[in-house]
Amino acid sequence: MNKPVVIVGGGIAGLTVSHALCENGFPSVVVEKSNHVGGRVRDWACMATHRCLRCFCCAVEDLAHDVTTALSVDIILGSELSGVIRCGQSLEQVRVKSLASGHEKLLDASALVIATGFEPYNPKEKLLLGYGRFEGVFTLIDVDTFLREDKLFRFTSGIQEPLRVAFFQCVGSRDKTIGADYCSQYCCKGALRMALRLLENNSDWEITVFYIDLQIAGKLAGWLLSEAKERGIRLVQGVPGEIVEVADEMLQVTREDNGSNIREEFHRVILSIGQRPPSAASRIASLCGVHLDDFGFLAPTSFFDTSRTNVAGVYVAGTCSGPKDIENTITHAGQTAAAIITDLKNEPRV
Amino acid sequence: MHPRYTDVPHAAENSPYPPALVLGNGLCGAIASRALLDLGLSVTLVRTSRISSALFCSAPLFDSEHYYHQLLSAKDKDLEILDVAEHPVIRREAPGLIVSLGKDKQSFFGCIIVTSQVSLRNQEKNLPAGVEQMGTGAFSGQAERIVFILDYLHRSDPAVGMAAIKKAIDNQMEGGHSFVLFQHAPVTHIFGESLYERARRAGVQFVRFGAELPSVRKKEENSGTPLKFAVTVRDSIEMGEQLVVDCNRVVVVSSPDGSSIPNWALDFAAHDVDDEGFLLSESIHCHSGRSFANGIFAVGECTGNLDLIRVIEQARSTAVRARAWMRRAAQLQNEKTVASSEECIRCLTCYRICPHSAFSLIGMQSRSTVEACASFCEQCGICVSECPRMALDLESFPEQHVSAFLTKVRQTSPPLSMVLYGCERTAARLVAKIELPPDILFFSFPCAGRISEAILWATLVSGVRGVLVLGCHHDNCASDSGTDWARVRVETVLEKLASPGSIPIQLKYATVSAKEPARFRGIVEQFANSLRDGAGVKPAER
Repeated sequence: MNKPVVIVGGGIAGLTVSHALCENGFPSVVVEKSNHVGGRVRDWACMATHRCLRCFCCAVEDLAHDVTTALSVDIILGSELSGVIRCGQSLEQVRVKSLASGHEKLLDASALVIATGFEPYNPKEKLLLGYGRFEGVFTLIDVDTFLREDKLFRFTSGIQEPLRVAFFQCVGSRDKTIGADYCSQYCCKGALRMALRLLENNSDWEITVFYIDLQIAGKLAGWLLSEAKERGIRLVQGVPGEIVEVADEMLQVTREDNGSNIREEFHRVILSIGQRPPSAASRIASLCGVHLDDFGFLAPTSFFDTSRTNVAGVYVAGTCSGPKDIENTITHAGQTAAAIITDLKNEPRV
Repeated sequence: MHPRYTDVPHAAENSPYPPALVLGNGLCGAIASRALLDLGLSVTLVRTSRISSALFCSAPLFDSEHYYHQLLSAKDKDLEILDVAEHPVIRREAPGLIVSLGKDKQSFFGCIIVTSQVSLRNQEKNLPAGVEQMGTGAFSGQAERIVFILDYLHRSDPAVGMAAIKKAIDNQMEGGHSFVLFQHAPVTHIFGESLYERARRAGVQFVRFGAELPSVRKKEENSGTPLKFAVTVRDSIEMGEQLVVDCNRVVVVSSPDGSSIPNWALDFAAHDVDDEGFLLSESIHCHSGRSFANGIFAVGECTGNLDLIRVIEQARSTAVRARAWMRRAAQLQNEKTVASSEECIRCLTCYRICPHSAFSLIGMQSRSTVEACASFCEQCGICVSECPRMALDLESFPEQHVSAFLTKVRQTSPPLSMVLYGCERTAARLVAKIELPPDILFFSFPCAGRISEAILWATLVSGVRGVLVLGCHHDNCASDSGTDWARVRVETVLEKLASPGSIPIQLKYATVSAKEPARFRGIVEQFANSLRDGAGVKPAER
């Protein structure tokens, strides 16, 4: 039997690569540092209202089921990549280390896929937004967790309904001052879905979305926008830079409109935090010899080939090579599988 | 390889796969063909007209025409390019599709990838004559005063929007003057922001307009100036200031129009379209590019409003899925998934409703019989439930499974309070995570579409107080309409129950996803409470 493809990261990207390889008859090994597969998407709540809103988070359930039951896929949990062994140009083996015991083991590898995902931006860096200081400021991920655990009362507690909620887009994205001069791709659609999801059970809430530019493309894009307008979601261009707590724990924001300042008060503010490079990016880059891009993501070779890297036999999949939403991560990971099969060429005969 | 057809295009050497058919004139078809060839498959690329010009509206971003020819110029013995005058006709025949390509030439293919041209929404009727639409006219390359209007009436397509900005930069570099009027700047990939930076440095002037659309006025012919148009725009940022820009060209960028997809492409894609008219009504479970009609894939702008990098990634990703699909189809070729009995009256209901187009007609047209092909079948059981003669049965999930369960329900003592029916990919996964009280029994179906009206009636008379049917959310069903079938059947039963003399029982349909244990628990608890309170004298609320 031929050597397997080693995939570092068992999130949606890693699972998609593994699944696509498996479907095509190629063995793989998934190395995951936590004790379960599924990554961040596993913890993401379903956004369905009276219909599916195509957030793609349930795809991880299908993938995790198919991959964990597949005979040609091995899964190594609680471990991370600790070395790459090459013979000349070609990849021979990789070393993985168990995080619990520190024990290292060698795996034969025909190719190496880096799919370590992203790191969410820490909004505490934006002091003026008061995350962590004001009780009414949350991130999109916080609210998502409440939804998943059915603890939305932690979001609404102590407030007389109806709630006035504001979404702040591009927190930690499209921001030169923190070296994140790129769009995080997932948050516009994510915030609109979340707004619709919240309105599903609380139709009297007043929701405002402050944005720089709405980046909504792909299937259901037009529907999302028109549904948002129909459900009375207010879309306002320009994201306020500061939140001030005023009387009754209300959060006051100031925005500019046609040259004059307008003050508005909200009960709750939800920050749509951006995607930053994975914390392991520089370590992995130096282990494999892969270049990093200007922002610290693992750099693919070119505009036209976003799966291969500057090192032969090493590929990237998903958000470790640049921000993406779930749907685009699945597409990108599919392309990575295509690149690997192309390079390995001949299907191994089992 | 299919034994019955001799003029099969030769498969790639040593390849166990049948050849793939790619249909389309554009860049996307070329990328998909290249990707399939690279995966070791043989490809027939069918072009129905000259290379599409609209496709090259992305040309300002890179030399796409050169790229197109580069992709297909390789002396590849596995690539056949056919330029046909008439649109081919397809027919399903396990484990793939038979396509007639011109007179007396029929070929067998393992799968079809459809890439179709899609035009942008025509805005010219709202604007004075002479206003151009991005993508339709060639750029002469002379230094000009050009106003690009993005998001006019409709959100611009991100790929074309970014191409317009690139063109604005080029025009500026050549000594012209470019203005870009927009509502939302498209930055849908990581390079997006740097394009703006370059544009600003080059001196392109950006004006963001708000709710008020820019207006274009044509100047009088002999006003003694070469500038033909005056564009008035209100800047929504700079104090709402009104600007008037004189220019000699106005280029509008709009969004792709699903209704412009030609009929032949719709035919090829088995008329599988989404709400906006784009190809593929795919659910989350279909993965990128795959249609519910198995064996059919679609890629490119015709599947939705995408940017260029996504289109490229999608084409390659679809190629790898197509390869996997053909592999599976060949493996399943001789399996049997749906058994049909003597009861069949050839009403062709199954043929008509199968979301995966798994049934093929066999025999003469007047007395055709149907047969489900395992290569296409997903074993959802929608056909079994809808067959008016109950002539069909799933091999992997026979009727006996259900009747054995119903016997168990009838014999349980004390009687069960509730029976829970659901799909194996959602409800069953939730039930595995949650402990149900002993008086509730769950039964898993391959798809909610398998829960037939007959099963509902049989359960209602089995002595339980309530029946809860859990489907997937609308548009999330792996078999497209399975959950909707279940909803319709529950509604039909409820309608009949509501008539006088109905039996004291409750029935309810709800939807849930595999990721919603809290919602699931809530629905079950609420239903259990209503059983207790209402004592089951009236049908549950719809």
